[in-house]
Amino acid sequence: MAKYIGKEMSRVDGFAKVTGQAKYASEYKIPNVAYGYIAQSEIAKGSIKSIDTSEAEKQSGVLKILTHLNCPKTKSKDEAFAALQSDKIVFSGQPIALVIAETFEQARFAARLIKTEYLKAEHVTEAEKAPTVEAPAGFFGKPKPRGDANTAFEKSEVKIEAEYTIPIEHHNAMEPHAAIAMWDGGKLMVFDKSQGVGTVQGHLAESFGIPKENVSVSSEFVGGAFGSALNPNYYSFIAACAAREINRPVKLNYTRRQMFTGNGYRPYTWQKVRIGASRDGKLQSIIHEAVGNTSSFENFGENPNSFGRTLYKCENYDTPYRLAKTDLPTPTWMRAPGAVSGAFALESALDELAYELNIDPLELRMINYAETDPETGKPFSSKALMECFKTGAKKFGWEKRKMEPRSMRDGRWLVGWGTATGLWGAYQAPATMKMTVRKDGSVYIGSATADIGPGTYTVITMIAAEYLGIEPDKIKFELGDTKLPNAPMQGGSLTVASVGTAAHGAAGQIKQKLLEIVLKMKNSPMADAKIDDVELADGVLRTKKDKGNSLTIGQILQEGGLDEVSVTHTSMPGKERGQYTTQAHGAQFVEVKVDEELGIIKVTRVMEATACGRIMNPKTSHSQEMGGVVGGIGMALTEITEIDHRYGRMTTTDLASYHVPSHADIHEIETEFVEEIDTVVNPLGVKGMGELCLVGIPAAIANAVFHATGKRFRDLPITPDKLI
Amino acid sequence: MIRFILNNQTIETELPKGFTVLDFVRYRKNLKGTKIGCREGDCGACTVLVGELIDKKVKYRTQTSCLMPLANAAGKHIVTIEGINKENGELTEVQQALVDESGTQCGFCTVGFVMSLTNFCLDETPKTNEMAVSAIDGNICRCTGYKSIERAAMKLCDKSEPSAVADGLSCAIEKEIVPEYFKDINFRLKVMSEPAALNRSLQQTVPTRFVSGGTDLYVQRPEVMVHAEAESLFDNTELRFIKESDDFVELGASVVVTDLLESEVFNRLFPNLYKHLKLVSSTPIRNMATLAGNFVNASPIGDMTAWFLALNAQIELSKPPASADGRTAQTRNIALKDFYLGYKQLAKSDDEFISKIRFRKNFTNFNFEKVCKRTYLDIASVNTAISLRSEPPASAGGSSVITKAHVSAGGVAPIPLYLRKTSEFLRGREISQETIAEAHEIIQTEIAPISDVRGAENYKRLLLRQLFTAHFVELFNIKP
Repeated sequence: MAKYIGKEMSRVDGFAKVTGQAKYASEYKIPNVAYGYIAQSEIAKGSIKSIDTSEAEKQSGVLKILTHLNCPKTKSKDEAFAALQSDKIVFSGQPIALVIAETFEQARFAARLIKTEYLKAEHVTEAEKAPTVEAPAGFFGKPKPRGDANTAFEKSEVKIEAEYTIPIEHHNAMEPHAAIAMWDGGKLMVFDKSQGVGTVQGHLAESFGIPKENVSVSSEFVGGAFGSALNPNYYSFIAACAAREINRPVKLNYTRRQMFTGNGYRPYTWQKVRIGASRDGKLQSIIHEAVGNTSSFENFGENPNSFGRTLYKCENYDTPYRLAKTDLPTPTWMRAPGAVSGAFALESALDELAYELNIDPLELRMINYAETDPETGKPFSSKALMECFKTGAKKFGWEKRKMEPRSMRDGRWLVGWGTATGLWGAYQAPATMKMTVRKDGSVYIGSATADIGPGTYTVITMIAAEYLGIEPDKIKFELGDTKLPNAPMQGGSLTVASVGTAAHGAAGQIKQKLLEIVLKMKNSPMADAKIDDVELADGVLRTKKDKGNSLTIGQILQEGGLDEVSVTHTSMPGKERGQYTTQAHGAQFVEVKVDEELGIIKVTRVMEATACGRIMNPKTSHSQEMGGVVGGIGMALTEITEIDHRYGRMTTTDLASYHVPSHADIHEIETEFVEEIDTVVNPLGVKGMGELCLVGIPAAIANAVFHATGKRFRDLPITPDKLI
Repeated sequence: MIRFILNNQTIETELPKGFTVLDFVRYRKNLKGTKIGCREGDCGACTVLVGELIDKKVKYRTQTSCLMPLANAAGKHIVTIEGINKENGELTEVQQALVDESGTQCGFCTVGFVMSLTNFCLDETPKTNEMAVSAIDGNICRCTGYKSIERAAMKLCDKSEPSAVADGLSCAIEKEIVPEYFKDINFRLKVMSEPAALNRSLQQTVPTRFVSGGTDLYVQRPEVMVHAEAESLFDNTELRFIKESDDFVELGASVVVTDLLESEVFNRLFPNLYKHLKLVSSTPIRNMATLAGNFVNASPIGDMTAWFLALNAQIELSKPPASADGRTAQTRNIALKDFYLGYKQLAKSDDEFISKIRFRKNFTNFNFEKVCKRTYLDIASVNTAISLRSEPPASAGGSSVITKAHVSAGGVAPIPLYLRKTSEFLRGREISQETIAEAHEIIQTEIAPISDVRGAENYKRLLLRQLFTAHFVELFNIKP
């Protein structure tokens, strides 16, 4: 029986956060720091004919202005955008100068006085009009067509064909990206907002052509990121350039507006779904095409259409995917990348099919339930999606739903109920953890992972506490620093599965070491005990058979003549995983109320049932799931980055016009976990949930709006103007 | 020299008065608990408490420090999270509730929520769930989905006894929601040499440029505002009043939206005041945004402008004498509807400022409607207000005739629009479906919306049609 895992625990970093003491990247007090401010291009494509910084340089406090004319050149061969490298303009908002001054205000003021002349070229920012290229293979290769989708589609009794679009969306984490860079001789130290300090370290080492060991990166707290801090962004390099040029530490903070062109975005996606089915609802063929936008200089793909391939039993499946080369910055990963976009199209199309067949939409999903992975034929390591369907439907009251659109009302509000399915992979990556247990019973653990908000500090501490048998408040967990052992980036919902498994393994090694000391003792109380005969619990090592037969960790270390015992453990994904498909699933049920006269949609009720392995901490888990649901509500109803294509410029670049949901838009949300016991995914039996919770929500909302109004919305977001 | 109290410390600074409080606390005082999320008053991460001596009591309100110039801090008590944290390493009830309910994830917005909820605990609003949630309407969170924060907020209501309403501040001190030193702030503000050091009387105001709440100026031109030579009218006590006479209501130009919400006069004249005004921006911005600022900003979509246009308000413009020699300021009056000449073009010279606002009480019905993409914290796509006098006073059912009518609409022209023809048409008409239908046709000839990020032209036309209908549904239950 677990003592900590699976129990509610408040965040270990809660105190630091509610008192404002948690330090984010730009908040370290560095003596003699100078401030940078980025000036940006006003055109979307062309080149800089001339740039006059003389007026700006005269301003008080201005120390240096970097432009493409004097900024050090990167030594990196990466095709990702690097700032201030040439006169070429590849997107509107591209940095054209970095002003460094004594204060932030001085830098910002001087940046206004830079005069730039451009040679404009014709830009294309509309993905529909941009040239397309074949998308690169994703992490898992390029999926091949399954069966003969075209023929099967043509032969099908019932056919559905529909097109869907999703606009560019931005992460808009609350903390704007920032870095403080400083040099000590040939060594570079950077505080950065990052989901993976290791990647920033690699990027900077490569850019400056210096050994990785000479770059250290720290990111203790991250004020949300949602993917925007996975890939290194351009600012850390130019901040470091500036610091080297003026031989002082430099702080560079994006403004909210700069975040729209400085750290990627969810790409615009066009999708066409063709589904062929038999009259009784069995899927015969799915052809799910997608085009996503990317930049002119880099191909970013997220395979939005490939997630559906493993979701339903369907012998013929094809997922062509292309990229449209636009004169915009390169997109990047944004919470549930690909999956949520693909699910919007596929799960909407399934709803359309359900109405074509007059089969309940949930029933249709059950009819096509995949007991084994339809792509590979492998079994699932665990899959409690059917339980999610049933539990969710029951809690929501789905059986009271009337099939007919516009058949449910609440006074002047039309009521609609919709459902959709969510899917995300249960990933794991190699991770290393250092673990030290001291004589006084205190513990240090360290790993270069990140905590961008889900509660990594807390959950990894709980896992260490569980397997060391030591109370969580005696454990200090350090993360987000390149001085610590390697861990994967915090992305793809794999952190607990990876770093948690490392903590589990490290605790096992600690136990082994302690037992070795005990076994060497004269008249050892645990003589002949094997590792599985003993356990760490309540601060002692004891035999499982006779719990009274125990020694405190302090006593053992005393015996061994040690102050502490320390291990560095690397955990790898288990080999057994290869024989299975490992995924997490969820079912969403949504109620909307619609005022057709004013075009208002309220998501009045959400019931989300997810099966994502073992739940480590219900308190943090539920909160994360609700956040994902709300992200989905934003995606469905309010979030859009508008572009003025005449100028090739994003226009909704602030929180007043980029509408992340506000509190008043959020009504009843219930999240339910259907726990799975999965011994294959990893020793902890844990799967990720941070992205899963979002997948399916936009589709479920669109389906509910159809049910309420009889109108099918295939272009997100469903704003009032589309409704009336 | 600007003097104020920051947490428990008296501050005297020679910094430019246009310098923001946010930059002051973070960069000059290294108080990094106050976060920078947007610098535009949208996210609430930089929310601070602002205490002001009003009627011998210190009254606290939340403000977003990013849009608050030091000038507007003069003579006040500015409180950041560092001024709330307990010294004994414990958490306040507000902080503990957020931790217990998992109301913090990445933590970046959290301090703003702590400040808003702390203010909720120490101000005089009823401690209901609705008001608790309303207190955090100016705070955006991108991680939690709000539900955990909502639970924390509601916990604070359960614990506050009804007696707490009487004197929120003492009660909050007693419950250690704010530290002991808050007790002395009243006295300290009183003795702080003339809090009004910057609040010259109107007679002393010298001709210059003027800034009021600054909630849009600091968004549009922050780098310029820091050093701008501008006279702050925000704290001018002569401009902060609401007076009622037999026929009129008269307001000082620096009255903020929250003042209306708390005014007995307004609550009596506008029975749906809270319902309407909570659609206007957010709590911290309503605490900072002045009426005159909204009028002069001339945004075609200004909520308060639409409101006062529909009251057919008059404004008084003042022109200070060339020097502060005791001569009185020159004043003139103009109808608000005549104030707008073109996009951001005003019937006002640079050295004039709005000093008073006046409207007649002779309406029997008033309504305000607004549609935006997000419920709170949003700029309207289209807004509209209407005031009517009907005889006999119309309730639901029964026929009555409109004797006076003023209708306004925002977001449908380059200026905040007073619908002259429509207003004129309505006068003398019976309240009926036919009248509404005819008015619709006239409205469409008066407006000229453009397609922009807030909506396409056709949509805005349609929206105003629906909102105009909504006035009559709301006021007389007349369905189209």
